[in-house]
Amino acid sequence: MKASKRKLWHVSTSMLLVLAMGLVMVLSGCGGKNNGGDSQASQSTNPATVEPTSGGSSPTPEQPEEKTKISMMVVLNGSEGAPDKDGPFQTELEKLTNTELDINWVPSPVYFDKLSVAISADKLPDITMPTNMKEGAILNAIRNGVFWEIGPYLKDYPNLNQFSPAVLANASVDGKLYGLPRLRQLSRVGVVYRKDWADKLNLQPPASMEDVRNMAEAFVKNDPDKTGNTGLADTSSLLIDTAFPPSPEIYFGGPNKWGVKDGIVTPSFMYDEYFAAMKWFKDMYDHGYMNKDFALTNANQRMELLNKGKAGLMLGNTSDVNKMTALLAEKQAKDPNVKLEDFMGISVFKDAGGNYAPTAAGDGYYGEILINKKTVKTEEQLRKILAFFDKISSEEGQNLFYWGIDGVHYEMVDGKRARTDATNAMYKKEISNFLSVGVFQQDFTSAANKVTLGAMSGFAGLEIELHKELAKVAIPNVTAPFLSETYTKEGAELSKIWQDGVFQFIMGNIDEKGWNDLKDQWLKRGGQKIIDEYTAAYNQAQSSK
Amino acid sequence: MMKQESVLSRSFAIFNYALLGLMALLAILPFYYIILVSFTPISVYNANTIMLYPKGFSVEGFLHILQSKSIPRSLLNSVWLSVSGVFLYLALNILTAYPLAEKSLIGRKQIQLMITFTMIFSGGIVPLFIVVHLLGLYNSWWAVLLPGAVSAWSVIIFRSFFATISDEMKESARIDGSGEWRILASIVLPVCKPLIATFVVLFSVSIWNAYFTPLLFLDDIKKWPIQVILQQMLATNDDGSGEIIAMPSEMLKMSVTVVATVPILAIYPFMQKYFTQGLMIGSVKG
Amino acid sequence: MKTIRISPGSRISQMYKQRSFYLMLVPGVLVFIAFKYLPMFGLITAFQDYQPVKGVWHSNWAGIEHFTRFFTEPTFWRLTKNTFSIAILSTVFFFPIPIMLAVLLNEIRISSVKRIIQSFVYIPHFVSWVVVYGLLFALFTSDGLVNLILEHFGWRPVSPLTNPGLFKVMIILEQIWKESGWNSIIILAAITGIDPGLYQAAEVDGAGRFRKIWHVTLPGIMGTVIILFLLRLGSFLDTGFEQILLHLNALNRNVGEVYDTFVYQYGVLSGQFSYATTVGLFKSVVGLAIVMVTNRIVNRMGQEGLY
Repeated sequence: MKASKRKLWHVSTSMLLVLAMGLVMVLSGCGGKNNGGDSQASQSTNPATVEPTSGGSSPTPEQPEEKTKISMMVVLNGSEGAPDKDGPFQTELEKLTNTELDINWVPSPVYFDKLSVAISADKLPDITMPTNMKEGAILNAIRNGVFWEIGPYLKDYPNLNQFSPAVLANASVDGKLYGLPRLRQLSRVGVVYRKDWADKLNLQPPASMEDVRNMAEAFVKNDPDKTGNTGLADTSSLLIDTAFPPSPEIYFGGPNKWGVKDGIVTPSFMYDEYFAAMKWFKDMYDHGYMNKDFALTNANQRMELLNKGKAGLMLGNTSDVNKMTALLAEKQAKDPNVKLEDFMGISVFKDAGGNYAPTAAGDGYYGEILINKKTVKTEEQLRKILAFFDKISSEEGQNLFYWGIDGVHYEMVDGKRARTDATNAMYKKEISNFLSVGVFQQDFTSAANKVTLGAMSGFAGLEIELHKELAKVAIPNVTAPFLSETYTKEGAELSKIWQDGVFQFIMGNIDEKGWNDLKDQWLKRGGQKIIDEYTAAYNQAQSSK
Repeated sequence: MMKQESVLSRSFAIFNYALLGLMALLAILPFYYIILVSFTPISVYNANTIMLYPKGFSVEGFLHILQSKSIPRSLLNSVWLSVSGVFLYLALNILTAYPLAEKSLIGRKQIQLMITFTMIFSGGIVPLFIVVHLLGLYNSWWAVLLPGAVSAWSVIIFRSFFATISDEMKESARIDGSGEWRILASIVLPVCKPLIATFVVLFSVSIWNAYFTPLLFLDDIKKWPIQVILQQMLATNDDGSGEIIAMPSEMLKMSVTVVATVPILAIYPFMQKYFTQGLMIGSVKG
Repeated sequence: MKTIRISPGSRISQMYKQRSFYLMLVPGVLVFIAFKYLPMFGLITAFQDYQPVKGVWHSNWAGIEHFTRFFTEPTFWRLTKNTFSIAILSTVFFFPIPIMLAVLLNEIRISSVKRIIQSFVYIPHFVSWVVVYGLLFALFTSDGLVNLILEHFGWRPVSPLTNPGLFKVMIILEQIWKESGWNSIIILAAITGIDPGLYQAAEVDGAGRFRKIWHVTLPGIMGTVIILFLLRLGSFLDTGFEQILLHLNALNRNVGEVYDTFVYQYGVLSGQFSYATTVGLFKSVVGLAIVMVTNRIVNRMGQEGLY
């Protein structure tokens, strides 16, 4: 009796102790956070804090105006390390804009995580640039007023006020613009193919889905690179990866991801045209004109297959042609004069009349630059920051961002700007990471882009031309400007239902009835709500026009 | 006197060698492939679907990695972190586990319960981030080392090894007037060499391989350890935005793996000499 | 002997006698409190409508709303089935292997061979799952090495990466390959702690190799094995998220999605921290229950458990 009683006492003491400890922790954390959160944090070792312009460093007598101090969190790509803040580029940039930049370079794989954590821990710098603001902690923060609504201020800044209405609509949250969208081409969709194989078989650049099929068939049947029977069958020719081509339904008459059908905003996979696209791919798969393992293949593996000559065609982003570096190296090992254009080609679709066919439009931008209301406290400070972005969006600023300094980051060759090995190295070291701070530099199809074009090699010139044409006819995703609560919460999970279904159908694991069942499942599990929400938002936007 | 080994025993021995040999082969084969690919010229790698034996030799795969200025610095960082970390971790774990091995310690069960509790419940990375800031440790080595310094797992294992040391030895030392610190240093630790060697390996590897916590807690690029730099290379190659490295990403992965692991692989063979039998005195207790 | 001021035998006096021990405990306990207990305030978010901007202190209370949402998820049963089956398979098949490996290794007499094998089998631990998956891809896709060989002999190709029936088998086999060697290190350390006198005594008693293993080696490591087992049970439902996430595709998602990948989708990607914390908390509670039950059984059996 006594022993068990003592044991009970022991166990209950331990439980009580643990509970007490837990409570103490929580309570101490409470007080600690409230105090430490604001006061300690700002002056702590975190470099991403800002001091208000007025109270900043004492102005040196030579300078007429005080430098604006801006703290930023910028994506770091590459492994060269961060650009030197005393290097020529940053010095020039700060001189041009009269600023002092305090940059926290964050590697791209964790940018999203670090940003989310910074929001939670109340450690956000002045400027951040998430690539997707419509979900997660960032959307949350936007709706809770963490960032300035900069829409109304744009009209005062001539260089900034150049966004198209479409991009402005897409980049808005709840109808308001909270950040500066970074422009990207609307569409780069086309075909990347092996020109050397096509030439051998007298094939023209593919201009339609039918051409693509014919080319794939020819590649498979006629073995253009004569690897023949080495035991490694060149069985596949069209390469698809798990991301699936951008909205293939468009080529069959469907919309881009979402369309309006009888007044209701409907997802494209509900359209008959989408099913037609699925059947086309299934046909390709069954005949062996498409890679069998597409369901497993990611973008990198796809590029590797194309580089290795396991296939000859790719549907997707035409800029990917620049990733054929391994094949280029292989060919140059035999003949150093070989260039990319000799064996690769890109093409876009045209309709029967020779006009450029519509493709899926992206959102037109890639992430936004957000300004933190908590650290940029007054409108005056906000305006100074907007002035910074306005300046770098001027012709001078854009060229500085894109080209750098003459002799250091580029050279004049035959009267045109060009990059040699030496200047390219400096460029990569100093500037390439700053590109994400710029707004207009990377979209050559936009009128707002004022970068002087330089000497172009490879596909650069052709790409710019094609992308400009594509932008004219690209079909937008009608839901891009809107948000659906259900989609934000459950969308990704629900999408897997039909996306997996597409793959399963193509591989023959399910039939048409199975596909229809999946569509119903999507509707029942929450899809219907998404449709309703988007339709309501769409109608509201229409009626207020 | 000749010992007679039964036929069964000998055939078992042969079977054992064969089985373990096979396992060792399976374990090493992929690594052989990794090394093979990383030392192949890019053009040769590209021209072949799969390579089973070396075809041409080149360090092209490593040039990109080794040209980066961040590598030597981050290697030093990793070495510094691992070495200092191992000492720190060993000290903390031993000091925590030794008292818990003493059965008569008052509050022992409660403390063990508290420790076990942490093994099961965790607040997650965001609260940890906030705590690190609170303690003013952000952007310092401490932030990378301390959170993982002691864990229920390591403390409890140390404790169970310490518990096998006979109480009589400890008691007689106490009667002789030795304090607990002396007992720990002169009786317990020398006998636990295999255990300590084991944890030198375990701790150094885990610190060396750390990637996410350094990324999250160290803003200063100059402080980054090597795994962060290497993952950054891989990620950027995958990302495609920024710079396009003239190397297939699969091949880059191989080179990165070699650079990331070869230095630390040396630790275990180095420590193996401490794994000799019979160093731990004391009756075996379950 | 120090002079004791309080009556001898009282708890305080005993604690005073053991003060060195308490002193030793201080640094470790501080680290535990600071970095394990303090962050536990984050667990509250499972009961809140956590908004990152408002922080833990100002977010609205949500009670058990998230738990209800989780248990009524259409995928809940599937997730539970997948998670539990992988956890059980791993415990039953993966856990014993490092032990067997260590015992067998111990039987190798030629020390140089023993060392070499030891140094080889732990290498897979260092290869990241991303690279492992890349290797699997090279082996098991339609024109991968394994299928080329199979075709050469006229056999049917296999596709373990897309075959839902083979998913769990692959996961467990991969874990065995990757971690057995590494996990055997600690068992080997335990084996070195066995008193060689016991082996000699067994020898004298006429025990052959197998008898020695059964009566000396295995009992010698039993304590360590039990502790390791208990420690493993604490993270029973942790299924190896990175490995599984890499393997998931359109064809095996039904059998592959587990709690951890679910948490990744909702917690990390969608930013629904509260929901993710809820699932994590649920996993922890299950782990706690399992550990408590097993620890009590172990104590009853006369062995020392975790506490």
